Amino acid sequence: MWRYFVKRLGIAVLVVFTVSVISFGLLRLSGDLAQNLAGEGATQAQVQDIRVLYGLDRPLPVQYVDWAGRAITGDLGRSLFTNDPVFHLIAARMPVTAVLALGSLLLAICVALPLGVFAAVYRNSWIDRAALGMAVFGSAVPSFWFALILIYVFGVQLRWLPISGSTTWWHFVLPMVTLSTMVMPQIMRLTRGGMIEALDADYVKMAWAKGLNPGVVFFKHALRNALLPVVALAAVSLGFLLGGSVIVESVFSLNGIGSLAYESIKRADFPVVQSILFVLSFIYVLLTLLSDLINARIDPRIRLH
Amino acid sequence: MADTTDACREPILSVRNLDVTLKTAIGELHATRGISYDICPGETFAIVGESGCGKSISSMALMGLLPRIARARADHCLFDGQEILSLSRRQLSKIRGNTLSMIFQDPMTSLNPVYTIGDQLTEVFVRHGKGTRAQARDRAVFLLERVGIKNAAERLNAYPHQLSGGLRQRVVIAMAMMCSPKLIIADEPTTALDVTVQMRTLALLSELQKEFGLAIILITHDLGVVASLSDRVAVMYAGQIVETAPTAQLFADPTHPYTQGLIRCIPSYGEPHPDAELPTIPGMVPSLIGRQKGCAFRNRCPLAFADCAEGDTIALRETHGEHAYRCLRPHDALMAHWRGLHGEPA
Amino acid sequence: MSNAPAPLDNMDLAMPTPWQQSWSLAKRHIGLQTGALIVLVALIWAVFAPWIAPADPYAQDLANRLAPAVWQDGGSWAHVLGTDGFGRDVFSRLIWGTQVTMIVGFGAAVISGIVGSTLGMLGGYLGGRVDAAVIFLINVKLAMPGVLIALSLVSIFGGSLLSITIILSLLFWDRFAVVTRTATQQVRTREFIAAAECSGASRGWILFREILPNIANQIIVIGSLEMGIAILIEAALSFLGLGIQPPTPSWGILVSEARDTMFFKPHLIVAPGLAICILVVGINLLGDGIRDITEPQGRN
Repeated sequence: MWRYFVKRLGIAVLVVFTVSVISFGLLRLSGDLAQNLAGEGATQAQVQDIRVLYGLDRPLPVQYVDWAGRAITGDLGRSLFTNDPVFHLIAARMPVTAVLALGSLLLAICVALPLGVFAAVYRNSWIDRAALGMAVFGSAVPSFWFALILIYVFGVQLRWLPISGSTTWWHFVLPMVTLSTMVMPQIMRLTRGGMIEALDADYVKMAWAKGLNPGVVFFKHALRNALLPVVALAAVSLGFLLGGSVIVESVFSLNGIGSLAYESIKRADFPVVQSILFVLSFIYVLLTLLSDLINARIDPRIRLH
Repeated sequence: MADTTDACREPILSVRNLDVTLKTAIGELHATRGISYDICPGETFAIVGESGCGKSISSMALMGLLPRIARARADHCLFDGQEILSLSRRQLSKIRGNTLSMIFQDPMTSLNPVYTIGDQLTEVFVRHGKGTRAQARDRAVFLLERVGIKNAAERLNAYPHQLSGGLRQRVVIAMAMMCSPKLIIADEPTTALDVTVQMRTLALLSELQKEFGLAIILITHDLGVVASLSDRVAVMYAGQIVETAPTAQLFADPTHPYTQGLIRCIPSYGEPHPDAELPTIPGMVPSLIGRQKGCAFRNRCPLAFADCAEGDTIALRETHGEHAYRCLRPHDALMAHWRGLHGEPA
Repeated sequence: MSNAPAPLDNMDLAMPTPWQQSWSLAKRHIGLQTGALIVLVALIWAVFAPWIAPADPYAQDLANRLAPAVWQDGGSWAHVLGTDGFGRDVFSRLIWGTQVTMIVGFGAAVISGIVGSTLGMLGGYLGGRVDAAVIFLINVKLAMPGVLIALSLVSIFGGSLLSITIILSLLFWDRFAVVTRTATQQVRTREFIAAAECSGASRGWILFREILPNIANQIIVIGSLEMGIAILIEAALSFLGLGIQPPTPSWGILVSEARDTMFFKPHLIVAPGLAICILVVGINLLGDGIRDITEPQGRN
């Protein structure tokens, strides 16, 4: 078990490193940073000064090592636009996005898990069809459009909920509903598929043959086995929601990581963009490790590997 | 072997005309037709046939474990004096695992991978109100030792994947024994095991049966298993019992052409020459979808003639004792054919 | 009773060929038919947009801005869905938008399908270090926040149809790789692969002539899924202003342009959004349907 986990950890570190190299390289491809910084009317000499000042005259690998070395200590550089430390910018914006992503994931799980279980237990019934229909619709609806429709119906017509900003908890309701539809169909399908597989498995037939109650058969014997892939998906989904909140944050004017990234991309504030990419992939990798640990708790075959 | 040539007066299980049908997209599939048998306390009754002949699904019907698309009907299905086909799910679940239990084919998949052996053994005992958790534990240890598992108390904390296939099947057998059942349905209990392990598992089953006075329905495609373990046999083909007899008599006087073919396919039987090619039964099993007519075996039968396609079904004929077969040919003609297969004068 | 050798009725069912079986299943598969119909209509709109669209999608008519739709007061059949803030015919823009949507969606699905399937098949077939490298690449891809990467890349390389298609295809190859890798591993163990290997077939031959046909239906299913997602993300990027650039009629841009007037002209938002939704549902139904009628399990 520990050897397995250490190996996973090693791969995770390598993944984070590779992602950081890619995002670093990607944004340096975008053109001459010094020219951007200096602005349109700058002379050649001014641009050169800036290049030296920011260390942009050095070879790329040296720049990367310099950046990565400081990133490890939490120093992600400064914004080209506001000159604030990037770390502070991200730290200030993270809570909104974290609440949004976690809340959406919880909402999605609370709806999708029972729905998936019922759909599997009552296969081909109206509840199964309704669940699948909702999944088909949910994975086909553009989230920015769904957000606008929600705003129009619940914010403007019915006036039940606020439509922008993040001052109260009520402000998070519509964004969470929107965002949760992005992951709900997958969780529902995976739960349903896992449950169907488990319900057809011999050990569930055995559980019936032992005369156990339906509740025990469904929840003790089937669901625990069906849950393994769902845990992994939930972790991946959370990572996806953190990065995917950009659309929802933009529509609902929430000041989270997504909107920070969006603003920074639009004004070519590359230290910020690069750091956000780095931080999000770091969080993603942490989450997958966490899901491995949870699955090891659920499944002894992993635990005793 | 217990002497059960006379039908016992109080069968533990009595099945009359059990029909199982499956609804499929292209029509109604007749999985079993008119299955009838009685099982006496303490005897082993083998049901033998190739896969798809309906031998498993008929026992699933008894357990109430049919897939949703299946329907079972029968004149009666009396287990321990109760009509089990008409029981509610609740009432049925009180019998299952309790007085009527089941051993599945594949021990690798019939144990839940995420719970310990002990948990899975004790839950059935506690569920049926046989005692406390501690008593269930004692019973589990006792039975695990009885089925030949060493360090039984420690093994209770093991997970299924930590045991070999043979050990797992012993655990499954112990699990079926937890509530002292009157009848165990064993569905291909040794098919998934290595040959050497098969023999030991069969021996164990037969010991347990004598010791605890169990009745066993043994479902198998392997006549070798039948010969070594059962008191009486029913041979099934295409959803029907085509021949039923005490085991020794079936091997001595196989009457139905299908039984004859099956017995000739046993490697150690049939041809005496080791290099001779093993005989097979030519042709394919007919489709069971739609209305069934005449004898289902007629397209593969060496003795078939025009009348075999007539009528709804072929009647079961008694020869002597408890031996009966489902064929239009007279007994003498069939036996002459059997002797002819061995080169003896007809 | 006669003792003559048996003249027997033929009880064996004639086995239909796989194509016949798939076709007979397709005829009963309502989901597949609905999906095929939707995709077909979208294709016709995309290909024949210049002839179908009643008006020039770029022609502004500032005197006739925000004209009502045909079912509203003062609406006319000249502008079925009315006009937008520049007086352009919304229905024509919607039809032309199909072109952008189908090109980007189909292009991204095909390119990512080729990249991902190649990686997955190589990893699954060769195993060892190649496989480890493929798995590592997949892990790296999964760890990167896709939408943000796409936004950054579009801001760098611009929002042309070509660059958007290529950028989106960078986002979706991983699922192809995961699925084809597993499928290849399963196919690899079958006898006909061993037979081909023994008869001295080259690796390339085995991969493309023996393995690919056996996993093709899974690739098609993933392809339909990814095409749907690519369409959704293209629309989202265009909506955010970092995708297809106006005035090109992309459905995402249509929604974005209608946003200012959504409180009094909600149908201008509903129409393009619904179009995206219906098309993606159609593509997914088609993909699921193809899986249902070609998978061996689906044949019983």
